[in-house]
Amino acid sequence: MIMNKKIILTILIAIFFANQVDAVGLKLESETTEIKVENQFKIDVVLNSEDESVNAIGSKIVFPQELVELKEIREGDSIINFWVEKPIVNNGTIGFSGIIPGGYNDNGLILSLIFKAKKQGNAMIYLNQSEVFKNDGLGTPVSLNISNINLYIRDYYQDNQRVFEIADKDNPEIFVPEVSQSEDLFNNKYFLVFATQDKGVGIDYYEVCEGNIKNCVKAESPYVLEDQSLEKNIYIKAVDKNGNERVVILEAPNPLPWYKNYLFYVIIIVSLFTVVFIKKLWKKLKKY
Amino acid sequence: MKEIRKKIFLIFFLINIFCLDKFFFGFNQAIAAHIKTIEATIKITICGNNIKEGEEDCDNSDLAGKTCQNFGYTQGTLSCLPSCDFNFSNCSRGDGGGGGGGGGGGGFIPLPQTAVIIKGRAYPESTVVILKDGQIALKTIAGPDANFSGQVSGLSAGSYTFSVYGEDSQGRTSSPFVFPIKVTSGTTTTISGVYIAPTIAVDKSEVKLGDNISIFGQASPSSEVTIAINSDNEIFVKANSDNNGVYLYNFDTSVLEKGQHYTKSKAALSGEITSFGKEVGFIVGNRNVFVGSVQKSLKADVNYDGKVNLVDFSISAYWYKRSLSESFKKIEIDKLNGDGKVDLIDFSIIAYHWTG
Repeated sequence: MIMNKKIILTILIAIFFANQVDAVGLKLESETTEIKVENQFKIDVVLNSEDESVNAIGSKIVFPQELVELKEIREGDSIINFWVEKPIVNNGTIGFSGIIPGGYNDNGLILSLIFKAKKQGNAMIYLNQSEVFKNDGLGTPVSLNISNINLYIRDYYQDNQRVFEIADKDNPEIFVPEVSQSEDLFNNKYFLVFATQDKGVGIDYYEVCEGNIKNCVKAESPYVLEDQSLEKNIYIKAVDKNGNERVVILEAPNPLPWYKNYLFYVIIIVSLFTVVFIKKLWKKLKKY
Repeated sequence: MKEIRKKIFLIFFLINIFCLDKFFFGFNQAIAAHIKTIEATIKITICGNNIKEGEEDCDNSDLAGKTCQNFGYTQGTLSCLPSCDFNFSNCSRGDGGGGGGGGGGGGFIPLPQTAVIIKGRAYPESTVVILKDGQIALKTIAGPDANFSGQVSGLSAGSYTFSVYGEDSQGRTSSPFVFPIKVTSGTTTTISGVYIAPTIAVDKSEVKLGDNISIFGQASPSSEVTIAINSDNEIFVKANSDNNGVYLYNFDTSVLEKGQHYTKSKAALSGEITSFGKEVGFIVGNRNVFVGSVQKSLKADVNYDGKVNLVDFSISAYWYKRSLSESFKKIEIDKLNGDGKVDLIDFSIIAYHWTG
């Protein structure tokens, strides 16, 4: 109980002094501070770099599970290019971390959260264990100006139901996968690395297909290849949350020689059958 | 007759093989062709925003006050193509009289593409690399005047981070020129004035106090290069690059104190100026230690392939919050921050040294 009070006091102090310090801003933003029970609302996690180039961001967002229900995490249009920890909810906490190669010096969206208000109460949603690092090659932490949110959920409140759907028909971005090998990873086996973004609803999952586009499995990067001889083409499919797909092909690094390719023999056999068939047909036609 | 039959068989046979070949292999090639649609262009005007800017002829309804008559036609209506070029298809030269014309067919108007064009200045005939959200989208070669241009198309509406860096004739890379951009669907955004900072190197990793150290690199041709050397008071000296963009300054170290020092440079030409580029270090001590050829060993290059990219990120991500193997401990000391663990600080170092 005393611990909870301390946490609340710390958060209140953080909110009060939020705009007093000239530092990199990490903020939770919402269109509204009051919401009716059963209605949905969106919270954006936003970075304001304040003229400081930063390149790595990590934080945890804590929300009261008894008051609000997390419906969706959107990282589609995020400034984060590569997630070290993709945002995942775990027991009322959404942890994430990621990098922006080359640095970022602007105001930008990190991710958005769609919540549904469950019951009346004051819902404090706050950032915890946040860290942001300078783009200086040393990993120097920056001082942070954290802004949290306190939402008032009411049983009776004049509030329209909001819709947060995105009409996204675009495929995920084009990407370039790569096959690599490391003594420090997977017993020196060949593995595949890949990553892309979807600027609309965000990436849902990836599939890797070795040799045949119909022979796919859901996969995450890095992915240990089944075909360690690297004789097969590799297809990587990125699928967004609306089902839009982007497929890229990595041509086999060690392609099969022609005489080992079964398709060659299939072509020859089918061709021979066709010739015999045409010959017979020709003879029959000749009789008439 | 037999000859004709043989020929027909042969033709059928070849057609058959051709069809089968297309059936089995054509699908893959079609996808591959689809994937290889990445191109790149860089610049800062927006084609599709109804405002004629920069090098655009026009932009939708904004025809810059031009009509068909401005281009030698006598009648008709001038319009604008989605590419922001003038469309003269409805302009004509009426020679007086004449019968009525027939109905015109429908013309093909290409869909406006979503693209970014980047233009700027690097080093003469150098490789310029353009990264889109951390992945290489395009490599292009600058002209003898160091100017370059590239277009990245096939984009979606949304936020992108573009990064541009140059690679000089000796394989040294510049610091990246990074800019975030919000792309609107159906528009071409042009970003111009990307001026790449000079590359820099020194001839000695350690120099005897009072001896000279050569500071050199490549910049845009005939530019003024400002070199900063850190000391108790930062020292600034100037050099001029030649027609190939090469600059050299022999710096007398007698004004420096013993210890570690760093130097960096920036270039200015025709009123434009770069930011300071990468820093290189040297020690002022009691002896001269010459540097060999270009140092290829990059910080954060955990797989030692001369690049810092998704592979290094993935290998490091595997060890994130795990206890390190004995072999990776050595790599972590050599390439990352050497604290015996992989955490977000190490990823910050990777992001800084990223080459794509």
